[in-house]
Amino acid sequence: MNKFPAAFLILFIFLSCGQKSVPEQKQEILALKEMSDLATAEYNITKVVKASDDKTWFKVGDRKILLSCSGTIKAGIDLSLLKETDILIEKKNISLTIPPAKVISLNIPPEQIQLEYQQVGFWRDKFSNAEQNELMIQAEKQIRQAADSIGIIQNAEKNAKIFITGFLKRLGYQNVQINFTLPEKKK
Amino acid sequence: MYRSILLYLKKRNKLAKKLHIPRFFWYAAGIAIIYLVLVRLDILPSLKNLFRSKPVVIDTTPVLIKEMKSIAQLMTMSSYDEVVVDSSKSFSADIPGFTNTNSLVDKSQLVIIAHGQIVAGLDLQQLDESKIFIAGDSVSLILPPAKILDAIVNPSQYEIFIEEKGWEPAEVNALKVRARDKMVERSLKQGLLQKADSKAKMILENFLRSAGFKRISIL
Repeated sequence: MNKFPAAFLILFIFLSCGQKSVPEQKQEILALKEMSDLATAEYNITKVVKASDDKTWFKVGDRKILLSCSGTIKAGIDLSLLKETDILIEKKNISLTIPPAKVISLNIPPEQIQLEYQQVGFWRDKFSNAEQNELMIQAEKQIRQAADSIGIIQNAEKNAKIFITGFLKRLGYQNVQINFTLPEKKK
Repeated sequence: MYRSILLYLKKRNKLAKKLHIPRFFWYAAGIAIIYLVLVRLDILPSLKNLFRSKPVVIDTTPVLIKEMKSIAQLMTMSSYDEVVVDSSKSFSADIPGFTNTNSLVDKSQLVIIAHGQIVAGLDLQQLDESKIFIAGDSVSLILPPAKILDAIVNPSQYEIFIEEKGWEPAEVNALKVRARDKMVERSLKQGLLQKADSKAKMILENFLRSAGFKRISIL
C-alpha cells in the first residue's frame, strides 16, 4: 500500500539532485552593429598617470604610483546622417552638406600601459593590478574629456573635406563644394 | 574670553547638579557636538565612512599628441564581445631543510573578463584613380578588401575577476592582449569582414547613386 508514495519520494529526491548543475553555455558574440563612419583623422596620444594614496587617515604610510600610457583617437563623420537632399548636382558641379565631425573611437591598448614607478611605505601593500586598472579607468575618462580640446575634430573636418573633394573629382566633378551642418546644441 | 567660558561651565555644573545629570553626559554631548561640526566642515569623516578607505584619485595631467595622421577609413561593421581569459602559475617554496619541495607548491590564479569592440571596414586611401572607371553615367569601382581597423578593449572594459598573489603588470597585460586576440578571432569566425565588405558596397552604392550615377558596379 505504501509503495507508491515511497517510490514517488525516491524519484523526487533523484530528480532534484540530478538537476543541480546547469550545463555551461557556449559563448557567442554579443552583438554585431552596422556603422557608416568615415574616419579621417587619427591622433596618437600619450599621457602620464600619477596618483598618491595618502588620504585615508587610519592607514599608516603612503603609496605613490606613476603609470604611462599611449593610445589612438580617431575622428570623422557619420555618413549615415547624410541625406539625399544634402547633395545638390548641377552638371559638373556638386555641393555636399555633410554632418559635423565627431570622435569615433579611443583605443588604449593594454600593451601600451606601463608601470613606470611606485613608492610604497613599509606598512602598505603595492598597488594591485586591479587598483592600477582603476587608475587607468580614470585616465581613460580624462582622455575622453580632453579629446574635443586637442583639435582632432577640426582636423577631421579638414581631412574629410580634402578626401571627399578628391574622391568626387576622380568621379568627374569639376567644382566640388563641401559644407558642414551645424552641430545640434546640447540641451 | 576664558572668564566667560569658566562662568558658563560653573553655571552648567550648577544646572547639571540641579537636574541630576551626570558630568560624563556633558562631556559626551560636547564631544559629539564638536565631532558633528567637524564632520559638517568636512574635516573629519562621518561615522559611516570612518573606516572606509578614501578612493585614490589621479592628478589631472595633459594629453600629449605624439603624431597626427590623415586617414580615410570607412568603418562599416563592429562586433561587441565579452570573453573570459585565465592564467595560473605555481610557486615552489624553497625552505631550508625540506628536500622535496613538490609538496610546497602554491598555485596562483588570474581571471580577467573583457568586453570589447572590434571594428572592420575599408581603407579608402587605397582607392586610387586606377581603381575607378567612369563612362558617362556609369561608374565602376574596385574596392580594397575589408580588414580589422580597430580592436578596442580599453581599461574600463576589463574586469580583474580573480587576482591572486604574484602577478606582475606585464603578465596581466599579456593576458589582456590574449583576451583581445580571442575577440578578434571570434569576430572573424562570425564573418565580420564579409559583412563589412557588403555594408561598404551598400554605402558607396547609395553615395554614388545620390551623386548622379545611374549604373554602378562595385567589385
